[in-house]
Amino acid sequence: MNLIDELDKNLLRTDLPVFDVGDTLKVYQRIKEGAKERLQVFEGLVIAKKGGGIHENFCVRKVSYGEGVEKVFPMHSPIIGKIEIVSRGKVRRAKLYYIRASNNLINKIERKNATKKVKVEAK
Amino acid sequence: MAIQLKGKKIGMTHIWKDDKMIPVTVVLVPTATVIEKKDPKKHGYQAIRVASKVVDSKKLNKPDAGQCKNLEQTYQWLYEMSGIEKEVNDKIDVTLFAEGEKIKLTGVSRGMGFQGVIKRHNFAGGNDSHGSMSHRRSGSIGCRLTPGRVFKNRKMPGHMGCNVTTELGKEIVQIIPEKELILIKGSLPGAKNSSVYLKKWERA
Repeated sequence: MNLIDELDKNLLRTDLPVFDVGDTLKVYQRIKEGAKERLQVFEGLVIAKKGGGIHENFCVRKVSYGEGVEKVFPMHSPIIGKIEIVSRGKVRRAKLYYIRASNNLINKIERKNATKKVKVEAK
Repeated sequence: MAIQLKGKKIGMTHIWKDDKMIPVTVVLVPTATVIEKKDPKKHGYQAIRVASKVVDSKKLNKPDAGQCKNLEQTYQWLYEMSGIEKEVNDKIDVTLFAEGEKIKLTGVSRGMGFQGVIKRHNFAGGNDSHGSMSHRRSGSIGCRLTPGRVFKNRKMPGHMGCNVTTELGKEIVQIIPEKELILIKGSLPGAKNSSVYLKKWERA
């Protein structure tokens, strides 16, 4: 193992569930307001995962008041409080950029119940 | 000469600090041992000579092996620094620097080989079409009978890179003494495994 992998290993988060493109997530983002800190939820569909190791990130898309919104989160960022899997999706693409074409397409992803199918396991 | 330590550029990654992603370059800085003191009367200047990076004696060339002859270990890196008071056999390690400190860093930039004027001097180049025939050429390099020669320092194609490059104000983000590592914010000159000098930066 080289020195950089060794450094990165300590910074990887193992407390988050394993998810894939097509899943619907609730991402709890830590927001600092002065001295206070709260969790803000962003719920949407994972349309892409990019990068590897500590540089990995994922893109979550939702439709808010008729407008598509996307957020890219670094996978191992301390800014993520927790992640909940709402449902698993069945998709045949690694990147779901095609759903940007229409707000309706986001609802056409075939979804499965998360609690039945998949255990939330440490990475 | 300055207060400096020699290190090896390992590569880049990022770390988290105050919830922010900071890109860092990892530099391996082996602990240096003082092997000799240069005396102004005897040698003409004041400095200390240090050695670091312990290697097998077979790997040394003859000049380096000669310098390591009377030492307990054989070192590959032998260099000098001034402006610091140390005795022979003293150790200088990464704790010479502090986290958050801004330093001066010298390395040798990556070699690009023989390059044209567009890459080397940021020329615009010629038209790609309309039969221009001057796609990546430099164009005219001077006048006619007067002055009848090409001026010096005319930017032309040639060897690019492999320059000794010094960058100022490089921030030390983290120091890991047990692994002899220093993490510096941003990129550094040179390829992976190339050597760099980390110097104390005194702003006038």
